[in-house]
Order: sequence, then C-alpha cells, then structure tokens
Amino acid sequence: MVQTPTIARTPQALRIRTKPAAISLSRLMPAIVLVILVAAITVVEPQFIGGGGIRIMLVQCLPLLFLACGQMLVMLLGGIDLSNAAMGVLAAVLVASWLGPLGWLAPVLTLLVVAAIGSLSGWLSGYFQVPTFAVTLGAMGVWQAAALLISDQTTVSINQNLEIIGWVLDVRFLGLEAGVWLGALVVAGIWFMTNRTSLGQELKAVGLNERTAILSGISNLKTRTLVHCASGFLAGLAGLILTAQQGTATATGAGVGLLLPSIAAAIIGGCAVAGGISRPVNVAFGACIVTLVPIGAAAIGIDPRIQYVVFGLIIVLAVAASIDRSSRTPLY
Amino acid sequence: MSVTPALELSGINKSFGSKTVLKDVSMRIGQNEVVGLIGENGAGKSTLLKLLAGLHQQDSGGLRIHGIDRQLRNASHAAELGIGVVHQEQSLLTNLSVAENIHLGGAKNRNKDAGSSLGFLNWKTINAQATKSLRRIGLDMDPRAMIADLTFAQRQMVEIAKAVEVGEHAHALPIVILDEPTSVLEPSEIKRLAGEIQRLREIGSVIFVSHRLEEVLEFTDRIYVLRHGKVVAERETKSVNEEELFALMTGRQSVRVREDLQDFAEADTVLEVKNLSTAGGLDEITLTLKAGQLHSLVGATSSGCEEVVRAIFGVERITSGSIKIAGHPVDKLTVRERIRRGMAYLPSERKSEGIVSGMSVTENMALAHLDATHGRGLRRRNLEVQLSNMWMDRLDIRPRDGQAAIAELSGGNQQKVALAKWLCDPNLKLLLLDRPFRGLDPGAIESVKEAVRQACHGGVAVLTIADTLEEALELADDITVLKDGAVTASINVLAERPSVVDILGKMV
Amino acid sequence: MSLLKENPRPTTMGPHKGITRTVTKPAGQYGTAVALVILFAAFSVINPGSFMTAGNVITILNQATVPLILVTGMTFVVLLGSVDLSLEGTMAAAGISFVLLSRNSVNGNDFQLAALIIALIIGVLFGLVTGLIHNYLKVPSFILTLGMWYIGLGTATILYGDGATTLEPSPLVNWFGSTVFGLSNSFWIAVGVFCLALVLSKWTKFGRYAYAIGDSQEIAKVAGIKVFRYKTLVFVFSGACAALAGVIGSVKLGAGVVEVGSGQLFFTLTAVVVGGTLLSGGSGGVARSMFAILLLTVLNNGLVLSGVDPSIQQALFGCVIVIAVVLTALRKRDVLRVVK
Repeated sequence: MVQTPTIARTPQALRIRTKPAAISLSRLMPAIVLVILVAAITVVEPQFIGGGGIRIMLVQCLPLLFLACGQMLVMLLGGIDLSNAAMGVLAAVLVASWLGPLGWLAPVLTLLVVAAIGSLSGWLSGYFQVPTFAVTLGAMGVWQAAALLISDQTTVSINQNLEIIGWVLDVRFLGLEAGVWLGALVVAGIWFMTNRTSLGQELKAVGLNERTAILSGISNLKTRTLVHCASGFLAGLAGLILTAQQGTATATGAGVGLLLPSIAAAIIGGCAVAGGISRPVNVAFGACIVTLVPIGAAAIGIDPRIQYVVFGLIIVLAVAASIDRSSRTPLY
Repeated sequence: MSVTPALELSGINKSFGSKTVLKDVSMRIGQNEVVGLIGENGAGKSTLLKLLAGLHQQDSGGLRIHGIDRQLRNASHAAELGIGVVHQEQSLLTNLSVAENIHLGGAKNRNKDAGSSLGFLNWKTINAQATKSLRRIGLDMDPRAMIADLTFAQRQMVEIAKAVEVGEHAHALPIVILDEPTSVLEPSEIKRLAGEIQRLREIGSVIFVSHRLEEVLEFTDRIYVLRHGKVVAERETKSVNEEELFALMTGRQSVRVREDLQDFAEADTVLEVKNLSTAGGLDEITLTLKAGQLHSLVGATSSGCEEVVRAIFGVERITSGSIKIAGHPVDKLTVRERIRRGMAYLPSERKSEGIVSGMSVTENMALAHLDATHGRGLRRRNLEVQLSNMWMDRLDIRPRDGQAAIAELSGGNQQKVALAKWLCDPNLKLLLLDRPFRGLDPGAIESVKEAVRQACHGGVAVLTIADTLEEALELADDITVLKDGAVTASINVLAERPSVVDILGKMV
Repeated sequence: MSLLKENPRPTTMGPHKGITRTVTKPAGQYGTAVALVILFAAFSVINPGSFMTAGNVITILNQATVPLILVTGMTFVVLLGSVDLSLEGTMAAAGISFVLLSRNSVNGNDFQLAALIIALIIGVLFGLVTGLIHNYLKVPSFILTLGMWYIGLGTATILYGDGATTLEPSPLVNWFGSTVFGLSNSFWIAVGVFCLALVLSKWTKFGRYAYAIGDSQEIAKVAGIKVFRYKTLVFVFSGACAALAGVIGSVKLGAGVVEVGSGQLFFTLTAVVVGGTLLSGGSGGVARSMFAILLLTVLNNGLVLSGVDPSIQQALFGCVIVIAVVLTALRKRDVLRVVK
C-alpha cells in the first residue's frame, strides 16, 4: 500500500543533479588502439585507407564480430561459451546444405536451429547449476561432430540460391556492404537491449550480483537461457556470413579457429570474466583489432608466425590492465 | 599461581573513520581464569576480538601479554604470542584431516621441520602431535578423520584443540578466545564444552563471548560488559544474575513497551504459516499475520528465525506445512511469483543479497518491479526519476542523487534504497525484514522504523527478525520466540505485556 | 566475529543429531572405476575377437600415455579451483625444442638428455610465468592460460621455421620407444609420473595445500598457508607435465610439429570432469582422473574397433562431459546457488 509521506518534500536546493560520468580513458582504449593500428598500417601501406582497406577489414571481421558479441552476452552473466565457433560452423554447413532445396527458408531455419541449440546449453547450465565452461565444452564437441556428419566431412558446395545469403556481401549501401550495416545494426541492437530494456536490467543484475537478482524476482534460468540463445543466433549469423564469403562450407574450414579470437575480442572490448559488463561498441572495436593484427603485422613486415605470440600477449596484457584488483572476489 | 595477568588491555581506543567503536577499554584476564565478555550487537565485541586476534590495530592504548607490552602486527603475530581464537564460523579446511588442521594451527611457532621436511609430511609425527593436543583438552578423536565427516560440535572441538596448539608453541600459557561457541550445540554437547572450558582453565586462560547469559553465568569467573564501545561493568560472576547483566548490557532497567498497541482481531489475514518444517531443521512452525500488524521473530543465532523468513519467501526448501498469502497457497510458487503476490524480503546480508553494487540508486530501487518503470519492456526514464525522487525524499536518502552508484552510499542509505525497492510496490502485502537495523546509525534507524510503521498503517503486514529484544518490544504487536528450530512462545504484546526476562527465558 | 566474510552461514541450523554440513562427494569415489570395468566388459562382448587381445590392451595403454601425463598436471590445477588451458601450447614449444636439440633432419644438434632437460625447463618456465602473473597481476587463470596457449603455439611456430623437422633415431629417442613387458618406456614414464602425483597428493605439503586452497583460498591464507607459493608450484608442475607430454608426443610422431598437442585439451578436461574432480576445486584427485583417462581411451578404442565414425566419437565425448557434470551437481541444486 502506498502511504502518504510524513517527511516533508525536500526543497529544490537539496536536490543534486549530476551530469553523467565523463567517459573514462579506459572506455576509449579499444577505439584508440584501433586508430593507432590503422594509422600504423597506413604509414606502411598508404593504399590502406584510400584503396578501401578499411572496408575490406570490416567485411573480413564480420563473422568474428558476431561471435564476439555473442560471447560478450554470455560473459555478461559471468559465463563463457566455448561452443560458439562450433555452432557457427554448423550453421555454415546447414545453410550450405539447405540453400539448394529450401531456398530462402534455409537461412531462417538455420538461425532457428542454432538459436535452439544455444538455448539448450544455457538451459542445461542454468537448470542443473553446472558451469557454462563444462556444458559448452561438451556442446562444442557435439556440434563439431554434427557439422562433420552433416557435411560428410567434405566441402559442401552451393549450386543454387547463393544469392539468398550472398546479398549481404554484394549489395552496398553508402559504399559499405550490407553485411557491415547488419553488423552495425546488431551492435546497436545489443546496446539498446542492455541499456534501454527491462531485460537488459535483468541481465546486468544477474551478472553483477546473482543472489540479489534472484531475491529480487529475476529468473537466472531465463536470463542464462536467453544469452546462450543469443550466442547461438549470433553464431548462426557468423556462419551465414562465412558461407556467403566462401560460397561453400566446410566443417573444418574457416570459423573453427574463431573461438579464441572471439574471447580475445570480448576481453579487449572490456568485458569482465566475472560478469556484469556489456560494451558492444568496444567489443566491435575489439573484433576489428583482432582481425587487423595479422594484417598489420604482415604490412609492417613482422613475421606472421609471431601472430600467435602477439595475440597471447595482447590478451594477457589487456586483462591485466583492466582487471578489478580490489581482491574482494577470489581469484580463479 | 602467578600474579601477572595473562592479558591486559589499557585504554584501548579504536575508530573507523568518524565512528568510534571502542573507547578507553581496559580489561584484565588472569592466568587460569575464564572471563566472559557480553554486549549487544554493535557494542564493539567483534572489533575487540579482532583486535586481540591481531586483525586490527588499536588507535591508542596498550596491550600486555604475560606482562610484556606488545603490539600485535597481524594474525600470525598474535598466534605466535599464544592467542588462539575459535571463531563463530568454521575456519577449518574441510578436505584435510583433523591432524593437518591442528598442525597448520601451530605452524608459525613450531621448530621448522618437526612434522615435515623438504615439503614431505611425516604423518606419524603429525598424527601423534595432534593426538597429544586433543588429549590435552580431554578429547579422544582419530586425528586422521576428515573434517568434512565431523559434526559441528566435533569440529568445534578441533578448533579448540587448534587454538590451544597455538598457545603450546608460544611456550606460554595459551589464551583461548571462544566466540559464541554454543550457538550450534545440543544440550549434551554444551555439557561437553563446559568440560573443555574447565580443562582450558587449567592450562591457560579463556575469554568466553556469548549472547547466552545463563551460560556466561555458568562458565565464567568474571564478566565484562561492553556497551557502545565502553566497558560499563566488571563483575564477579557469582555476585550477579541475568537481569542485572541484561540491564548493564542495554542500559535499561526495563524495556518500554509500545503505547499504541491495537487489536488486530478484525483485520484481514495476510500470512498464514502452518506446521512449516524444512530440511534445514525447522520444526512445525505456525504463525499468523494480519494486515497492518508487525510481528517480530526473536531467537539466538541459529535458532531458525532466518530460515523461517527465507522459507516463507521461497528460498529454503519446505518438507512439510503450508504458507498462504491472503488465503492463496504460495508454497509451490517461485520467488518471482511470490513477489507478484505482494511479498517482499529484505535480507540481513545487504552487500551480497540486498543491493547490486555496480548499479545506481535508481536501478536498485526499480529492480524488483521492473515493469513499473518500463513501458512494454522499454525503459522509461521519467518513471524511474519519479520513483527515485519520491523515495529518496520519503526515506531521506543522502545524497539525493538517483544516478549515484549505490556502492558509494553509506550503509544506512544503502539499506534505505533496498527498502524502497520493496515499499514502492503498490501491491505490497507482506514485508519480510531480517535484522533491518543492523549496522545502521541512529538517524537511519529512525527513518527505517518510521517507514516500516507507515507501511503498517497502510495495511502491510510486516514480519521482522529482531536483533535485540528491545527492538522487538518497541515495534511489535506479536512476538514469536524460536529456539532450535521450534516455536517456544507466541506472545501477543497487547494482551500479555511481556518483560524482557520472560522472553529471554524462552530463547535459551 | 568472523574473519571469513565470504563463508556462508552453516547450512544446517541448530543442533541436530549429527547432521553434518552437506559436503557432497561427487558421484561415487569408485564410480569411474566401475564405469571403466563395465565399459571394458561391454566392448569385449561387442568385439570379442579384436578388443580383449593382449595387442589391443597394449595399444590402449600406449594411447593413454600422453593423456595420462597431461591429466596429472591438470588435476592439480583444477584442485586449486583454477584451470590450465595452455597445455597444447606448452607441448608444442617443448616438443619442438626437444626435436631441434636432438638428432634431427634440420640441424646438427645431438643433445640427448640435455635436450629433454631443456624441454622440461621450458615447461617449468611457462608454468612459472603463469603462476607469477596469476598471483601478482591477478589475472584469472582461464584467460591467462588462454593467452599462454597462444604464446606457446607462437613460440613453437617460430621455432618450427620453414620446413618439416623430423626426429632421427638416437639413443634417448630409441629408449623412449623400446619396450619393457611389452609396453613402451614412455608408458612407464607416465606410470611413474602418476605414482609421483599420488605421493605428492598424500604425503607432501604441495599436494595437501592444493586441496586446501581449492576448498577455500581465504581460510587457507588465514591458516598460514602461503597461497601464492603453492599456486605457482602447481602451475609449474602442470607446465612440466605438459612439456614432458610434448616430448613424448614428438617422439611418437617422429617429428617436431606445432600440432603435437592438438585435441589434448579437450580430452584432458573431459577426463578431469568425468573423473569427478570438481571444477570449483578442493575435491577429487589424480586417481580418479587416471581412471577417467583409461575410461575415455577405452571408449575411444572400442568405438574405433566397432567401426563407429570418429565424429560420433567426438559427439559422444561431448555428451559424456555434460552428463558427468550434471550428475555431480544434482544433489546440490538450490534456489540461491550461484554457478557460472
């Protein structure tokens, strides 16, 4: 019941209105690093900016972008999705197999399937209260195997209807491929969802303090299932783009190696392993950075084999720099 | 018997920021003496014990151990000097054995490699040493047993042995501090503990901290009473009784009962709990709340008060019994569904269960009823602002900044935000409060009390767990006393006008 | 007073006739061993001719060699409550180093034991760096070892250079391959490592403190255990195991390849989880992991003999992980239990 207040209303003078906190330097880091990277490459390869290098980079990093966003959403709740690349590859194989016979139904169905299998991982983890690490590790094995079986361990070629998904790369708006706009839409959508909807509040609460969230009536099962569903869906988008890019799909092809880069991109984008952080824009920058590093290294003339070492160092340093050291939470 | 006291505190002062927690505390613990330490929550007992354990350092004042001035640098240092603490919560490593835990207890002081060399553990030596320690306090337990397999009482024995081991190697008589040791024990086990304490007295000194006045009277030689951070009394145990102790503890001769009590017979029933039992140990709890009534649960630690409240809210599993809100059974509903039905719960652990640090004040307030501030799933900033302004005013939350990170507010203000989260529901029927005034300054306590009273005036039924009997008598229409998971008394304050001692008797 | 703020209140309240705090033992201490026996029996029935032969049993045990060494190191890390994802990278770096330092097709080196020792040192160094960064920079082990995995692979790639590096026969290399009682010396080394791990678990501070830290890091610290030191030692041990596995793996392949450890992480983690060592730490042990390795190797072997598609094997492994983890957690389900 709402009662009439007996405490007098505070005079206007006592009200404090603060401006929103100034964006801190660490929030801008990914963008800064990206700019530096692009600048460094341009110095060595002046063609880079002028000759459409940026555009190519954006298209290249699309699959990773989607995977990284999915990973970010799972990490928002403090979990991890080890199966996202596997789901992406499965999606690639599925759509490649179905485009011929099913036409436009193929991508739709594919997305539904991966969203469903993603939800399954999330639900299992949430319902049985088992670590997402373990569940998605198992899921990774299962969906990898599924992709191999469905593709009969060969390359699935597409003989017709490629344009149904190919348009993301062929059609251009304002000079950029439709796929890039799709990526931007996804990033904007995620931002909107986490910041402007009740679901976003629920996710943040569960990520920051799950017990309080549960005691406030928020369903941790529902939120966990949803983020893994989103991870699956986004992995599906990644798979579609991969197939569109290659025109074919292999269970062992490109995409399999995108798991670790997706985690790296999310971390560089500022996500905390413990949860509670959602930075879709920075994660997008992170994906660009991760895609650019090998290109940049090659342009500067660094041995591409050093790539791995650089990746590793970047991951470790990025997290070391941004980790909350208050040691209130135990270290795992 | 030597005259030098085992432990001497002179003029200890300790403040945290602007809050003085200990003021000019002086105490003397003699050799082979059992000294009791009592005081209400917030009196400073906890801080004093932490100080003695080396976890805090005093701002000023002296500490003498066995006649030598000491400055305790840290926990290891305290252990080196012979101070062993048996905590309220378990500090044993459950997947190690009894012997290992005891071995670790004395680790600091032992000659480097007795029991281990080059990292290898000599089980024979370790087990033998542990058996010796256990025998000293009269225990005959297999040192190889895993802590995980022991009962609470047994674990406590091990903790005591560990604490004594600490003193052993200090080559001085051990000073053992027992913090609320009986709260989880059965009567027969308490007798056992009494025996332990006698043995401890023979080999050293004991500081016995407890809420259970009757036990303090039984086990100790002398008693110190703390109130508001000061030692307000020191008594020989044989010259004092429970009522006097209570009066010294609270500073009141008797507790004033409410003047404005009313009869709720005609009011609607909001909460009906019948024969509620849980796996955790609740036994056939029955109670009823009417709209506008404030019902207080009282009981010692681990008496089950918290379980009752959590079971009603849906967080503890019920094995039998029923819970009804306004006539509707809710025992099968999820937490979310119960909230929809008008239930609310303010836990005692604010930081881990009451608020979400990392979110703003407004976001915390809106959290339990997100649809009130969202239209069709979309955040409505104007609704949020309205909500937070209203409640920041009503509860006098400072600073008046809805965007402030809740982590930056004081404990009292955080509690008000957590309360606002529930009070803002127009459909609120039942408010469950677990020690809501814990850790709050007097001003905040008044605000919260006022808010709760108003909720009652508005027809909300309130079930609260009281920190102190005083609090219960001040606020409640009904009091239910719990002991060891069962109801020992149901008191209607209007009809029975109970005194503190009446209630105390049912608690212990 | 409580030093232990993160410790929840006792899960049972009040005095109860001997009700102890519910510490669940994972699905039976002997569950894995029993499952192994059942599986063995099952496959013997399904493939009477080919499964239960001395030759096949030898094959199984040889196949289990590298995973056994790896799981020993990993088990200690998981007991701490951490994880070590870098083992494939460490295997690669150590393995290629070993090959490059032994008699090989690319350069003129011919260090024998020294090559092995240097490879092990590489593993130790990786572990040391991991432990130090984890403790002092407070980077969670998951991300840190992920990064170290990359670094290890990268180091191996750089060392690999341009061309295939094959291992030429030499006394030490031959020794690894020669057999005693029909089983290769590599296998016996694995047995030795396992036995060492058992000793460490029961009779040394290293082992006992690993359990203690996994149970509660806070309590362990308060009890006087030097948490940083022992955590670092565990990572060093894990690194050394990975290095040894990398050397043996390279010897088996007869060459230095970056992919020497490919797929081992999945296998090792599966075994740890299936064996019943909890990812949250403090519970489990090397014996269980050993049974789990045998279980999975037998499963692998049996499926191959039965002609099952390798992809289905992988799928089965994935299901096994999920089922094992779910079974372990069943008794602990609770409204407010938080597991991420």
